[in-house]
Amino acid sequence: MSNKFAQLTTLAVTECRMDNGDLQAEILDLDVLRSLDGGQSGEMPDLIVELIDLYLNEAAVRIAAMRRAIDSNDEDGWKQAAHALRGSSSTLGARGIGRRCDELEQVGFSDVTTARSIFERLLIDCTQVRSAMLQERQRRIQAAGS
Amino acid sequence: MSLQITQKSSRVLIADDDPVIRHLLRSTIMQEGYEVTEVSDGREAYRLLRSDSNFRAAIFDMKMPFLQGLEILKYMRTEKRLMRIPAMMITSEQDLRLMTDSFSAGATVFLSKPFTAEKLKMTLHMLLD
Repeated sequence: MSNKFAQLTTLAVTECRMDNGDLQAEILDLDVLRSLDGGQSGEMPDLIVELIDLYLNEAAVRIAAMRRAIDSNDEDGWKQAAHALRGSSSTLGARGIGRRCDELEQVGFSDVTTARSIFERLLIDCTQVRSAMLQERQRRIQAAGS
Repeated sequence: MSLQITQKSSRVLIADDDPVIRHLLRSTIMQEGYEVTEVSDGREAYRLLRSDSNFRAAIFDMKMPFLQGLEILKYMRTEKRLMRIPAMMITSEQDLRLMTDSFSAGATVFLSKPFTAEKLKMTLHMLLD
């Protein structure tokens, strides 16, 4: 019995490891993000760093607007903010955020409870994306400096 | 005279309320050797086009504050000085009808988000070449 438990545990850990790459890509697909520089030359300002800075600032504004709209039961408000965040999130590789924003846009009939639930999950996604983007930003700045 | 202005113009108008998308578009367009004029909503785009038609091309987000991209396109097709400016419509919606609506309104090319740098460049070449 203990052998089978150990085998199952090993299998679960292995599956987690195998899924980790996919999970990372779900949070932030770095291949998508990195492809946006379109092969710019090293002498130009790093477009990816600029996009990350812009996106993180913009995301904070949109998230704040969503929160205010949900708190005041403003369905148009949270849907507009979600739509505004969706496009750039997906384009920069933050697919999970893009999907959450889409879910928020689909919430109907001023269903604040569902909107709030989705928003809470969106906040978690945003924290993870922010961390991943800042890591990538740091990596690129260090690589440029060396 | 006006045809000469269009042929000589190296300016591209970008209208999008998302600063991230605007920055990406601007960077890519400038890499292709064009100048960029950008506005952040449909009302600004409309006001600009009322007095300025010296653009090589225009790029509009479909959904913008105050005035939608489709409405601006329709306006451009009513003015002789603007109707020759080729236009790209960008949207994050996946509705095929929006694509057909865009072309019916006079769009030259259509680009849906999310887009890769390669797809953006390809669509830009279709617009500008």
